[in-house]
Order: sequence, then structure tokens, then C-alpha cells
Amino acid sequence: MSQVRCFVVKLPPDATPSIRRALRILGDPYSVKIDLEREGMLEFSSSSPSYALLKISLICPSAVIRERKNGMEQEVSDAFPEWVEDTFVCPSKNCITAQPKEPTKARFKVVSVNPPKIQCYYCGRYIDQGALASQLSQDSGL
Amino acid sequence: MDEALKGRDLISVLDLSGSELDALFGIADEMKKYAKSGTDLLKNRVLATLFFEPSTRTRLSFETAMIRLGGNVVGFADPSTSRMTTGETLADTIRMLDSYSNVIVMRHRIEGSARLAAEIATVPVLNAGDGSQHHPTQTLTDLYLMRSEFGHIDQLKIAILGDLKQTRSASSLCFGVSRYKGVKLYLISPEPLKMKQEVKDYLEKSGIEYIESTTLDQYLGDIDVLYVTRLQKERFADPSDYEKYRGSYIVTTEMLQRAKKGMIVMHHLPRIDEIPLEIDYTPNARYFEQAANGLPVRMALLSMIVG
Ligand SMILES: [Zn+2]
Repeated sequence: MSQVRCFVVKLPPDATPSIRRALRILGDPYSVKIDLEREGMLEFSSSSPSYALLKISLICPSAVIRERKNGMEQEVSDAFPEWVEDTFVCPSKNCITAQPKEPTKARFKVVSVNPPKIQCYYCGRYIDQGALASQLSQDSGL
Repeated sequence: MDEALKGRDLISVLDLSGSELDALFGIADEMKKYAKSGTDLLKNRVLATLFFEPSTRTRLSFETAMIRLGGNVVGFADPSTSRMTTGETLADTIRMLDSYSNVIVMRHRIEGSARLAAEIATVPVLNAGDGSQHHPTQTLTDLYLMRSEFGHIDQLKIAILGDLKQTRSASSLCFGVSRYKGVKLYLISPEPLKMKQEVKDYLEKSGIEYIESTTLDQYLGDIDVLYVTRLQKERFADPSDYEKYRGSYIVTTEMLQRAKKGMIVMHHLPRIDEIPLEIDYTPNARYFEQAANGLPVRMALLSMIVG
């Protein structure tokens, strides 16, 4: 059984929608437990936090993430996963993932975390910071 | 027969390594012998062709290749017989054809559809073009012509002219040349139809040098290959842009006189008016050979994957 680790995320003041979204995506599949949530701040714990760390960083690149260890906050040096699944939507209407009846699962290669840029596995298109942000503002219900 | 490709899908030309390309081109040389007489290498094997988007050249070339290898062909070429009217999903169509055939060739307007098909099918899937990025067998044909013409692909200076944003043969060729050393690309297009950033990033990552420009003139003395693509009016958001640019993207005999000695002109065909008929009679024209090479190249591919 791997160890549960605790993280403190400081978000910019205008990032409330990002927090909400982060909460929504940091659910069960990544065994993440939200410990504290308030304006500009989020604390969570997980034994396998790499996806959560990646997603917060992609959604809110200016978030400062620190790990709490023995009462001290320290830098996080985890490597990000190379791929991210679900969570985001390919913005191309001409992509197979945009065809509602086809059995695809959105899958993206992480090209860069800061600035955020991911690439659709199926159509090869980039989804950059602007497109990710517009998915957030549309609150697409993911 | 080389076993390395047996059972593999071909979605992007990047699915093949440099040595696999070499092996395939070697077999294509052999296949030229059988392009008219035929063999029975793929006897009792069935190729399914699914052309959700119209194609004449690629489809006929694949079908002829299969027949010359002694195999059979089933499938459809008319999008109106496809799911667009029946409402059947691509996934279901693939499952059906998967049970009938030994290999599936498909073209679809939706990007990533060949990748999905490959995930579903148990038989190999060959992408005959999806969306605006991949057209691996066109690129194999293009690279094969360059190899035949120059004896090598390394170090070639290749200009790609026209609509680089939406022409899948253009982006696919960029991916393909990344398997060779010292190739230099000249990406010549109107500003609104520049090569996609995704492709340019790939070139950078692969160490392929490229120049972007809206005009070809200053490079004519340097390039070995002029690869021409169609410039279509409907691809411009502003139709007046088409009128503005179109003249600069037509090949003329005067241009060829100023070109580097031995420069060849290629085109994935069909052309509209970007290569006027008089160019056909110049020593530079290679687009008909290029198209003809599609047959031995596809015979080699099918034989390696299905054989
Ligand atoms: Zn996509």
C-alpha cells in the first residue's frame, strides 16, 4: 500500500471556476480526497497524485502546488504523466472523438504543461491554453 | 518476403521506420515486374475498401494492386451507400468488414477515423486518407519516386507549394521525410494556408530544417523537388484572397527555365490549373510517373502486410 500524500494548492484570486472544475475532475478514478476547499485554496490527499497534479497544472498554470510533509510545505518534483484521458474535449468538430455514436475515449498527449498544450491522440490537433480555458468557461459539464 | 510489416496497421507514414521504408521500396522495385502480369501471392485473400469520401486514384490503385497480387476486393466507393445514409456507425461497419476480409483500406473525412478503425479491426487497417493530416500510401508513392529519381532521399531539397494547411498529402510528406537525413523543406503557401503548427513542431523535433515563405521564386535555384498541391477557392475564408494568391501558385515554363538543373515537378493529382498542360511536355514533369508508382508501392505494401 503506497503512502498517502497531502498537497496544498494556491490558486489565483480569479480562479474560482477553476477550483470548481478541479474539484469535479479530482474524483474517485484518481483516488484523490479533497480535504479543504475555500477561495483561492485547495487541499487534497492521494496515494497516486500524478494525474491530479497534471490536471490542476493544465487547468490553472498559475496555481502553486506544494506538498505538505511533516508539517512543512515543500516543492513538488513529481514527473507528469505523458497522457491524459477524458477530462478535456478535442475542439475539432472534424475529429472522430466529436462523433457521439463512435466508441472513442478522448485521449491527449501532454506536449507541454506550462504553457498548457495537449495533443489529441486521434486527430493530432493541439489544444492550447486558450482552448482549454474556453472549455472551462463554457462549463461543458464534464 | 520481409516479415516485419506482417499484420501491422498503417495509419500514419510515421508507423514505418526508415529501414522498413527501405525494405518496402526494395519490394516495390520487384513488384514492377508483376504490375502487368500479376502473381498469386495473395490468392484467396480479400481486401475490403471503404471509401466514405470519394477517391478515384487511390481506390483504383489499391484495388488493382490486390487483383494483381491474385487477391479479391470487396467494399464500396460511393459514400451514399455508407453510414451517412444508413446511420450505421463506423465502428459497426468496421466490425462487419473485419469478419469478411484480410485487410481493410479506408478513407474518411473525419480525422482519427482510421485510428479508431484500427482499434476495432482484428485485420490490418491501411489509411487511404483521413481528414487533413495523414495519407501514408500517397507519401510512400512520393518518396518512392524521389528515391527512384535521385537514388536517395537524404539531403534532398523539397519545396511543397499551395494549400499546406488542408492538403493531407503535404503534411503526410513532411512526416515522411523526417525519416531521412539532411532533407530541407521549403513550405510555400499563402499566409492563410500555412502548414499546421503541429506538423512544424514535429519537423523541429525531428531536426528537419524548413523555411516558410509565401513566394517560391527565390528558392527555384536551390530545390530538387517541386511538390505542387491544389489551391482551391473554397478553402479561403475570403474569396478575394484566392484571386490575390492564385497566380503565384501556378507552375510556368518560365519558372522551370530558372529552376535548378534536374529539378522535378510532382503533384498528387488530380490537378486543377496549378500545373498547366504545357508543363507535361517539359523534362521536369514527373507526376504521371508518380501516379503510376502507386501500383507497385501498394502491391509491395499489401504483400508485406497480408502476405
Ligand atoms: Zn481530436
